Amino acid sequence: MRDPGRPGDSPREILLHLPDGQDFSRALEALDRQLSGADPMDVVVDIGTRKLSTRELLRLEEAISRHGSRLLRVTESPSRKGGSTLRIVGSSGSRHREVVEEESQRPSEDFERTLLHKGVLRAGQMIKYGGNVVILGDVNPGAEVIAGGDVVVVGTVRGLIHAGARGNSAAIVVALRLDPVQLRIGRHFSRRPEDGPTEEGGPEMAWVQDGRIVVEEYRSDVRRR
Amino acid sequence: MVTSGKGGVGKTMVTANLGVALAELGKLVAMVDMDVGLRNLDIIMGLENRIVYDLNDVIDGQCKLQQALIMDKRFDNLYLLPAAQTRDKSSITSRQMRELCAELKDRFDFVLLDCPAGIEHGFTVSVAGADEAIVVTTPELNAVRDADRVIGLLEAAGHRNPYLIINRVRPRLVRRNQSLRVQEVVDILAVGLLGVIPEDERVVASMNLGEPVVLYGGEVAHAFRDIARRMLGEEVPMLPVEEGRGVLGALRRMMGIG
Repeated sequence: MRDPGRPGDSPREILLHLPDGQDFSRALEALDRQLSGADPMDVVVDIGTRKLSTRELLRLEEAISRHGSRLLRVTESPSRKGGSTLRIVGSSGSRHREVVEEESQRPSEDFERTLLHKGVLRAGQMIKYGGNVVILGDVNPGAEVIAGGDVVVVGTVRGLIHAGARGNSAAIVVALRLDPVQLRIGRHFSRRPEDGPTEEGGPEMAWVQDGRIVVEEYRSDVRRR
Repeated sequence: MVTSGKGGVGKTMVTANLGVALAELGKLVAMVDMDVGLRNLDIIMGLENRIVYDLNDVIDGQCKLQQALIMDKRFDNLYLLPAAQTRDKSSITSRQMRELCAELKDRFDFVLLDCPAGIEHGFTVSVAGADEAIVVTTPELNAVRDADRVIGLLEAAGHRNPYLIINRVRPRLVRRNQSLRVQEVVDILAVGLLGVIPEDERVVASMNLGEPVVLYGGEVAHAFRDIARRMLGEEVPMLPVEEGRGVLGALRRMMGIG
């Protein structure tokens, strides 16, 4: 991770802070005021020790682009370790860890980041990650994977997968066997056909073609984007 | 602990019959009814009229553990610790359960906890006390879904290798493709298969009579005796409950995960 404290490499780069302890909306307003009237710039935002949700990140990006500027990257204050944090959040009232949720803090790098999950993803468990997700195991009915990028499952998919969850329709889903309850890619959506599961075969791949999700045999030479 | 997620799949029946089957093999066994407020195990065992003290009395210090344990009518090495009927599940904490289980483990070869259905407090408390978990399911999609959820929770709580018992397998439905196969259930849940129990009307009759079905003989009894031997570490092949495909594969899987 690069040092967040020196954005001065380019004259058009600016570092703005979201102060800790301040309500996100209020901090965003302050940032908005700082940018208004200024020339378009590359903006680096220091979020301190704050944790941003995906939604907040999108709002931040939007606020900056409203002024014709660009969110270059989001940094954390030096006291924190680099990289995005993997949060394991429990369901309310239970002390068991059951939801694995990843909130990535760098939208520009998201698609290059990949989360590896070893083991079966079971009913009631969810992985939410800004980048790509690889699962070594099955995704069972009642489990959900929501990824900003691609999803690869070395196992059988029987649950719900949403690849390209921020609207990236170029995302793909690859699995040894695709038999999901529901598949979403970007803004596209498909259900399992009522006439039963797909026939047994090799690995399968789902992607968007002409505005529809198609599932076909996986070929390593498929070009994307 | 014997658990399931979904209610009505046969946890209590499994607990009672495993208790008897282990006792038949000469093991000293305690069965604990964790379903505080909705106790059942005493009825299935035909011991309802002998209850003086219960689990909550022990935990509250109203009596000694010794006083609350009810010896079985048939086996002097099989004991039941009944649940309180007039309390609710929040009356026991995980810590109290851990202490009680530690005491029971000292005295018995096997302590079987019959968990309540669901994944709430009663489940959490049982998890705290247990070393191993047996998940009971039936070959129905909704029961398998709930079992999957429970296995996820068990894994999160540190029970890495729960065991699976598939109850009420109906060969006729399997042959007509109207029921999940044993192998399909094992594929989805991906845990070690401990046993497969066929559907049998006599199970219901035996529960009403307070005589665990193991005592009747037959295929169900055979299945439970096999499970008991597997729990003692013996390698016992699975009964061909479905007749034909599926069972062999399931066995191989069990050995692999062991």
